[in-house]
Amino acid sequence: MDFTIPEELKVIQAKAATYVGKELLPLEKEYLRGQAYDPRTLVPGLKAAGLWAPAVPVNLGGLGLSLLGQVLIEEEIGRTALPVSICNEPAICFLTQCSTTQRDALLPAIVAGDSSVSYALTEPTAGSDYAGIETVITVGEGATEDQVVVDGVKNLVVGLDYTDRILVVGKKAGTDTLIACLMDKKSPGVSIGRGVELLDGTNAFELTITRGQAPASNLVGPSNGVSQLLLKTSLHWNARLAAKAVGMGKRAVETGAEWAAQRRTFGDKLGNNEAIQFKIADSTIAVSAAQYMVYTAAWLADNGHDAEREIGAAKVFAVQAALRSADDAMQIRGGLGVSSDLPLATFYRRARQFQLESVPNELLKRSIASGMYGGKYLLGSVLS
Amino acid sequence: MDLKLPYELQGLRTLVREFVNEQLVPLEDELRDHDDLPAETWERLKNQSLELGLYTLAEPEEYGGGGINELGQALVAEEMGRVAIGFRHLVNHLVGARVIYKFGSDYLRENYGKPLMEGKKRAAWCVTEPSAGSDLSGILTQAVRQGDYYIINGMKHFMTDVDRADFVLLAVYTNRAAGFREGLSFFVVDKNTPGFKIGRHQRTMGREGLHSFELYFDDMKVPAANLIGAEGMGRKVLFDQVHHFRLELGGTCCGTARRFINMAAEYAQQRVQFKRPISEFQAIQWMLADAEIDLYATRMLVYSTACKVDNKVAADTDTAMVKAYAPEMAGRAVDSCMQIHGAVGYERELQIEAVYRALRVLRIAEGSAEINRGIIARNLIKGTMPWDA
Repeated sequence: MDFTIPEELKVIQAKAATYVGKELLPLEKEYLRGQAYDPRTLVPGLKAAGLWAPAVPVNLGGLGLSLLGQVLIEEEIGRTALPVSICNEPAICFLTQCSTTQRDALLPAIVAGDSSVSYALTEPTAGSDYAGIETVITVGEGATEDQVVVDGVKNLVVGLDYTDRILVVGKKAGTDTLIACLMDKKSPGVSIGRGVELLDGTNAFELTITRGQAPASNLVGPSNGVSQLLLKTSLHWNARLAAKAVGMGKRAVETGAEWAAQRRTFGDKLGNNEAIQFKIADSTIAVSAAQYMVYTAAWLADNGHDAEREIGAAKVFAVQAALRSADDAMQIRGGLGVSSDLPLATFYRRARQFQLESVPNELLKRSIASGMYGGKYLLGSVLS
Repeated sequence: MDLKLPYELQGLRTLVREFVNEQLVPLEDELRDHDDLPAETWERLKNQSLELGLYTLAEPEEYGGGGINELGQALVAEEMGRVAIGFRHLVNHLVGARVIYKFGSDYLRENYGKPLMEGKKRAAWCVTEPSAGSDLSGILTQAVRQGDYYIINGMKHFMTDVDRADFVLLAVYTNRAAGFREGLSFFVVDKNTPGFKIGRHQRTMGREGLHSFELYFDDMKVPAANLIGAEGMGRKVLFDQVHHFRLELGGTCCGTARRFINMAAEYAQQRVQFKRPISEFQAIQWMLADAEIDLYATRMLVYSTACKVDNKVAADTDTAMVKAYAPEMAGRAVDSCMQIHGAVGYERELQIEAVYRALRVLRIAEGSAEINRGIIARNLIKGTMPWDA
């Protein structure tokens, strides 16, 4: 057993840490004070730093990293309050797992930064339960036989303010089979509705598609259904959220500890109070454990193990650790902690959102319990 | 990064698990009900452990031990955590031997270390006093040199296993003015030394099979040759083992949690209420999932810390995290197990209530949860982050 990060990934990790420290943290203050921010402006910098598109195969312009490599980058990115995308998540988690032909056709433009895709899964009647999806995708019913027609209403679609395409998941007409189609945002019939600001500062939109048309070649994922692909997408997305949470947690702990060392109250160093020490200790324990849970879950996935539950557990634990660490650090920093001078309030909001993002923690726990009833305990594939 | 266990550690885990399941678990009820086992049973178990090579797993190979690393020991502790803690001395818990071999003279190695390794003698640690728990500067027991001897006066309490020990490793001040850093020393003291007196049996909340006593030393004359190392080395001796103790305890807690989480998951599927197995209620699912996630987190802390210690990476914060967190995690897991079992879990028929009681002291012993949280925080406030090591 060895927890040492492989040398080639340490290099990537160091690159990410340097990029975050030198390029992103200086931008953070303006963002926290409300300056408009477009994540697309970071793409050239991320490319130059060798951090862009880690999940995309090398032959398509990406870094071709293992999940462990991806989470190491996400962790460093998580240290900044800037909402940074290292290549079009979560749509990229879906598209990188499509067939070779589809990947070859779709990914180069995304990796080049010429195109970006919003992920339209959620509907008023369907959140975690995909069975409630009412959007219908009809194949061969458009103006020509090789077209599809899409009808439906989506909500909480993130990124529609800057993406140009939409990955729409719907039921194949007349069946319960879920299929997916890429649509141009400007296609006739596609109407972007009301936008709402989410807790983490990103915008999410309603989307109505009325007889929206796209070429049949835009259908992505296996022709017999994308349910498994949706689960895999969630799996990778969960791992990356968990890693981001670890990054947030680490920075929150460091921010609190640094202040505890400097700040003097009632004639003594703040950090000499056990009330403060125990907050730092509890956050540190949670973040440290979360870090290795994420690495281990990624390693399991990379090495052919069924890591669904370990990734889920890592997400649940890491996000709670980030929330707690941000909360504790805010308390230690006092009024400054909740101000826009520091990233803590953003971390707090973001971590809270992560609890329900991708797959809500409750469903992940249900899956873990269900596995236990079948004799599948966490780490059981390597350490029964 | 590689989570696969080396072949030899896989084999060792299996060996310990079989020993636990076949030899120890069947005796748990008897140990709990009588707070002890017949002497011949202990002797048989010890000899089996010796034959299997489990008794001296971590002691130096040059003295006949197994020489396994901290990761291996944590995994062994995890297996031993699946059975009552009163059996712990039977596998890789040879009190005193490592200290004697590392810091002691050839005389001490031959006369005290060797019989320990052979299972012919047993030892007990003697550190805590009424005025000295976490703060060892409060130790009042003193040794004053007189020629080739030291005269020791004082008392100890909560001394575990002194009833079965042949000698003790005794912490005393040889120079109070030099304080804890320079003035504390350890002696090997035979129990039959004149002036050595076992006092009150201090009955505790749980952990049947482990007995605690007060000890009194009245002008006790101990040969200078029984000093471990040199005067003032007490702190070094004490801290040399601190990482090991914390990791062993962390591993033990993981094993205990594993056993009782599994027990709860199995019971939940059998127990029917309101015409369905209680496993179908989300209240039960949540308890199980939370415990399972918590155990995963703790195992990560234990394994990653053990690897750091084995690789000689600074791990003060890490071992403190293990010590602070693991007993609390196990306590929560066993508590959930009891809740899922309902009144059956509270009954003495199962081991749940016994372990519930036994676990409580682990948040206190070997450095309280509070002391360890203080260590963690102070290291961070100094700017040393565990994730930077």
